[in-house]
Amino acid sequence: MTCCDQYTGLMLGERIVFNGLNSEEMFSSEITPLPELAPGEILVKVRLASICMSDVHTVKGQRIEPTPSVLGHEAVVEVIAHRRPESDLIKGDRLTFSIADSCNKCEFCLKGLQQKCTKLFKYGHAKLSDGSGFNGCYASHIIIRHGTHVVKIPGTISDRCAAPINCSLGTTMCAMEFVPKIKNGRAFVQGDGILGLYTSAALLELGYDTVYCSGTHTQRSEFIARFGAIPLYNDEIIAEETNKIDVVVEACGVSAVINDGLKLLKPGGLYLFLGMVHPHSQLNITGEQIIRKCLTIKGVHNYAPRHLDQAVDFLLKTIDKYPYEEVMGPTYNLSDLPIAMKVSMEKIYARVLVKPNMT
Amino acid sequence: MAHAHQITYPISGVRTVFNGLNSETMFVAQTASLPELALGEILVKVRLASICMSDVHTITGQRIEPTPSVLGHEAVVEVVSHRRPESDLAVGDRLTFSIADSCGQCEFCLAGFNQKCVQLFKYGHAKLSDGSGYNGCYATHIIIRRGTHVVKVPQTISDRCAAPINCALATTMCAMEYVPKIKNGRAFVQGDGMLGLYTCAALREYGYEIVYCSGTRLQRSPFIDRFGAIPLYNDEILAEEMNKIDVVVEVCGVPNVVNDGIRMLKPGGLYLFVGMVHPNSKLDITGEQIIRKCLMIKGTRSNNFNNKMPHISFHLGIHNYASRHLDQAVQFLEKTINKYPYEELMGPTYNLSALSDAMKIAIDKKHGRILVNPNTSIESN
Repeated sequence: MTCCDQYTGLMLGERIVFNGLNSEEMFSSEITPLPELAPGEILVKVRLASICMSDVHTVKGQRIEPTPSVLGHEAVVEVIAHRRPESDLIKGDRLTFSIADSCNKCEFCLKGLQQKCTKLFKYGHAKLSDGSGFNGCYASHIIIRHGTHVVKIPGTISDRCAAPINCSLGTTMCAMEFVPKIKNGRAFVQGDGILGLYTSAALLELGYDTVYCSGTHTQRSEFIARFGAIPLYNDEIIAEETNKIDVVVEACGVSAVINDGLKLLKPGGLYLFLGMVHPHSQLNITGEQIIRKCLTIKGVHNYAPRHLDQAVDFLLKTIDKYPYEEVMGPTYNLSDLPIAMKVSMEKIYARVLVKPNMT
Repeated sequence: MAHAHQITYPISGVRTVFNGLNSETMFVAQTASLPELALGEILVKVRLASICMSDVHTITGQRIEPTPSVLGHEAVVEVVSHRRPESDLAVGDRLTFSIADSCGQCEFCLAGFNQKCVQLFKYGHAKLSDGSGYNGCYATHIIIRRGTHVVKVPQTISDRCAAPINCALATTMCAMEYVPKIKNGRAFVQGDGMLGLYTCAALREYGYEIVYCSGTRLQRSPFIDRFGAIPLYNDEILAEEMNKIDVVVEVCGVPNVVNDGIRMLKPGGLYLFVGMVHPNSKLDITGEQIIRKCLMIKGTRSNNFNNKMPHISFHLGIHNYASRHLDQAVQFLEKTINKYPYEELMGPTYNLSALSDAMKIAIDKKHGRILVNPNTSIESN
């Protein structure tokens, strides 16, 4: 059932507009007609969105996004109508979609770094005035643009498991592209949020023998174990494993952990930086530390279309192996977005979910 | 020619012993007998040594080396005799040799941790009491150990050009291993010393279209140009090239250039850290800068110890990692010997007895390298 504007026969959609921290009303609901589709576009309804920590940072002022805008970039959506005649999309298909809309022609797209397209557009990070304005997941609908890669969600993956695919899991797959397959590999994941848990599972699946995972939420330790890693809250193990770890992954957004990571890495080891996507990430390291152990540091931001495919495949393959459903938290209505944000901030759950009011 | 036991013992050589900064005489010339060779060893005379900046750091106290020792690790040498029967070495062969020597057999070597080898040895960085004591290039002779990779130096390469191969040029080859081949590639080399100039040439030979090189010595700019790069002393160009550089190479040892380098890099670009091998290298960067541009930072050192492609030396089956960089260095130099002004970069030559003077001149950094000829009877070609 869709809401139609009784005067024009156009469909209506609802979106929660973020007006910025200093405005009277940080979030305001807007019901407005959905525009007609341009070639290549897809009109989807949002089945279930999840609140990514970067949105929490925006709402707390630690991150600046253009305003007014519709936030939210993680969601599983459903096709209502589309103008991609060469595709096999049909109404009712459940999809995940790339956060990044890219041109596929520029230097970065051509070398597989579509997330840095010169004409980059990011859902949940775009001004209302950009395109249709139905640009974020805290809404009833999204207009998916013609440069956006989409992937169908198999029936065995529930909405709750599917929602975070297009940010957390896509990013994890991108990070994994740099991880070497090492016999008896040892890894250390710094961060027990959803990114850390997904990364732990991915490392196990790649064949890593020992994966440690550290974080600040001791209540997560049971989940860490169920995602295949050894919970690490203990400095003794860190001392024992000095110079023995093949891969360290920073997935917590905190720069203070970097020195530990450098100490743990074996000579020739790899450090992946995923989480520190904010200015308060000053590193306290020397060039010498990197050179003496011949280390590689790789920054991973978002992902490319192929990683979305890999994410869906990965989830499909391991859906019964790891407790994806159980790490998800409660679901809130769109109109309760401010409450959902507050609960997210508490970080009790890996993800808090949001469901649109209109269907 | 197989065995080459053509010399009669006893035979002695002269070595300049470094006693440390706090001793009365920092350098003392010592005449000492050369021991008979063990299996796998090569007795060489030093034709020409060059003074690497790391030795300058040692004598200015910025770097600690064991003492007493013979410093000097860059040299072109000549075979006097050898015990490598399976090799094709002949008396009189000019050689370059790998600086770091590991056994290839202990638990650390086998696990790929060569730099923790129980018998790790580095020429020019070893105590006098280690092995023969003829362990460094500021001497008339060196005893090359059985695990050390050696490469013959072709005739077309003079001694002056050959001396720095086994440190500066091999290090450059090691760094180049990580550089991707990029169409219309743009690079930025931070540092106009030997490493910087060699790196500029190597990038051009690899197909990079535009290579900038920056440094602190304006007098180097004609050399930068002749090594194929565009001298960069100008912040305007830095601003224009922001986000446009594929590869930045830090070869100056100074951490405050790193922020510029990160700004210049294109998303997905590569930063090679080569020079900052000392503790005063605190970086002033954020994790965000690295993540947002999806950058890769790679630390490399001379005689990089890593697991890939172990090279099995032809003798005694001993693994010697990264000896391929020495091979590549000689090949690179042979191929480009007439293209770049390698010879002109080199400064004056001093006798072994004038080593202290030579060091002082090296500190001034006027020349790419200062040379030392311990065997003045040899006519360096």
